[in-house]
Amino acid sequence: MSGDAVVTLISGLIAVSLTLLVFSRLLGDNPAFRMVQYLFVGLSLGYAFVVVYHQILRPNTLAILTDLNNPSGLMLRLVPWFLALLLLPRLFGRQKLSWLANIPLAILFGVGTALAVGGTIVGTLVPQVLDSIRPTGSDPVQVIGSVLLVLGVVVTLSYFYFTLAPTTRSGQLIRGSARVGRWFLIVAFGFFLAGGLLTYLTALNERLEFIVTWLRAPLG
Amino acid sequence: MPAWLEDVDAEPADSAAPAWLQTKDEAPGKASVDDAPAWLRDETSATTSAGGRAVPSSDVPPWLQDEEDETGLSSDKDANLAPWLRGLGNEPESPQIAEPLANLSTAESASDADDTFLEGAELPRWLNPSEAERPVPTSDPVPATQLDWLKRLGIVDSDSDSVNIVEPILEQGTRRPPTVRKRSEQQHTDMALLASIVASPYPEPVAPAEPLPPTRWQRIGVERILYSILVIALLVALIIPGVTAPLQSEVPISPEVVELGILLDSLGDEDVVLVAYEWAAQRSAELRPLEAAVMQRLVANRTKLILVSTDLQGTLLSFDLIEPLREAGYNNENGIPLGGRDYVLLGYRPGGDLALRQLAQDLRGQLKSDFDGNDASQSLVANNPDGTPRISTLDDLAMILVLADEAQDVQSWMEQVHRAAPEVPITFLLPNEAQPLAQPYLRLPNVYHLAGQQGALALLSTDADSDSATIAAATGQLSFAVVVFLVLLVGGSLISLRTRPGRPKGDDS
Repeated sequence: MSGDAVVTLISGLIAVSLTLLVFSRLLGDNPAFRMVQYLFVGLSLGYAFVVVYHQILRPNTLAILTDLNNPSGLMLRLVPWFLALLLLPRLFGRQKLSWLANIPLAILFGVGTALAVGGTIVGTLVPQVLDSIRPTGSDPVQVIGSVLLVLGVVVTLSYFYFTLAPTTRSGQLIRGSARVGRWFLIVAFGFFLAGGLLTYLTALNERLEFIVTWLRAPLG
Repeated sequence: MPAWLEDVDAEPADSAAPAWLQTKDEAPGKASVDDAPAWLRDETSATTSAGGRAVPSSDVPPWLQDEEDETGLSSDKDANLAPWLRGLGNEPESPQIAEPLANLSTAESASDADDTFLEGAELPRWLNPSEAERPVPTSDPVPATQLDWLKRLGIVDSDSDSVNIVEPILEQGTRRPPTVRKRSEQQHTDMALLASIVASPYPEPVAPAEPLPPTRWQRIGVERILYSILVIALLVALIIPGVTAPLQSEVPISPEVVELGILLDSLGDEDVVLVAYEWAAQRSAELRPLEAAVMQRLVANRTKLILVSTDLQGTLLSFDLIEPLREAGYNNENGIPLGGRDYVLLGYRPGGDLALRQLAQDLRGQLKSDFDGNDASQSLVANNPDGTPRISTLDDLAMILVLADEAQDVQSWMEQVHRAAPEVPITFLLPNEAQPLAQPYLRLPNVYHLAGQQGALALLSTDADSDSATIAAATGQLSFAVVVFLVLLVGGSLISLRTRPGRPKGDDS
């Protein structure tokens, strides 16, 4: 048996063992399953630190060192570090200077909100509204689909309209529309559930196939 | 100055008081009195006469006349007083009220003498009163107890330390305080109940009845049995592929999949595709086949690639692509590495939406540092062989390919990247779980998608060289899993209905 085959066999054995330990959850919560959970979390965190160090901390530190003779560039490089340092007072117990951390956090949230609002309006809201009112073609099925789409949007939105008294005539109209919208929502949730079911069955199949393939490999 | 005051000035210097006052102090004298005003004269006369002579009081102000007449002689003059003052001076003091008041003053004096505030405290010797100085407690405690307003109101009986009704100590005929009320029968009953509750101890705790030990089937549970059956059935189907043969069929290929296949086939070695790894390993069962199906087409055409990720796990998964690319000759010429010739691995870009926005605004700027820190903006991926830039903006890309495991990834890429280059085709590879949520974006123009294992199989089916038997086996296995799951779901529901304890009669809820 070659070296590569041995490595493949051992790595496969580890993977199969971990998979079976995860499946042991079927018998109830047990230490073996929890061990695999902790192993996964620990590996993820350790790997995340390695990525952050190699891709963020180290390159930016080296960039500062190379810009030592360039004051303007150096200042720009130091701004992120300065903002990061302002977060540190939150670590100490007395919190007297913790207000300093509000500055970078405010910048972070402000930029994030601006990006989200701008992106949502241009990238989601306008295209979705435009797509909800499609031009109907000559195909009857397409016409029915377009009408159903508009109807579904209206009745589903009416389900979330709560500010009209049901005693009024318009309130009763909204109430009836909301009932239909509720069924649209239920059908949509059914689609979500079906999608999730397919995903998990595929994952189960893939893991079982992996185990069977690994077991079959030594047998040829 | 009035005349009577001038006379005063004329008095001898040794006299400090006015003459009329001196007269008053010394002895009755008519001369000085005559100089005083009429109303003062009357007063002086009344004072000096000592009751011997009734002075006419017509010159005195009416209110003073009334005050003078304390013996009831002027009762007919009350008409000049305010109504609330009439007869006030004539009211005789009631002996019935005077007696408790006298008792009260006695009690106060006794309380002062019997100051026991520091009694019992360990005081220094100089603060301790001697035995002689120590006040002797009064023999009659009744006045002291009368000071306690609670006891006077009859709420607390200090002797018995219990809630009780004590008759007011005010004697008969005196006015009762307005707060004293007789308790109703209900209040008496409640008080008796409270007293009995306080007096009676807690009842002995009754040990709950021992639950019946669960049976073997109950300990295992229906759910575990159903899960086990599902796993065993899938294992059997994998070991014996013939089990799924009836369910093996061709994968339905939608027109969109065909269109995507044509688009992928049309890419050449001069085109650049931006590939984003935004998925985590838990979705590898679906995204690995999708990745393999698409990358197979791209690698076959030697399309240039830029690999990037804003997800930490996605970065790790993108590294897995390096070895297959090298084996396919990417950045590799007979074992000699040629960095940046066919692909650039940018690695992790922190910031989420912010990183995507930077990518959309300045793609070439992002190429200045790959995952090793090397400047990839001078590579053949970013430049043509003649040195002119091949990639400056997103519009220079032939396609954007996003491997996403959540609908939020689709939203971010659509909002931050696709809106910056709406003419560039963007393709999403998704798990089945995320597809319904991302559906609104997937209907937009220039947006393609493949979802789940079926999507990968459908794309593979469009390739003439694909292994149809493998595709059919995979389709059959997945269909078999769905059928078994549905059968178990229905069976489990029936078992659950049969074993569910019945509702008590009359419970309509």
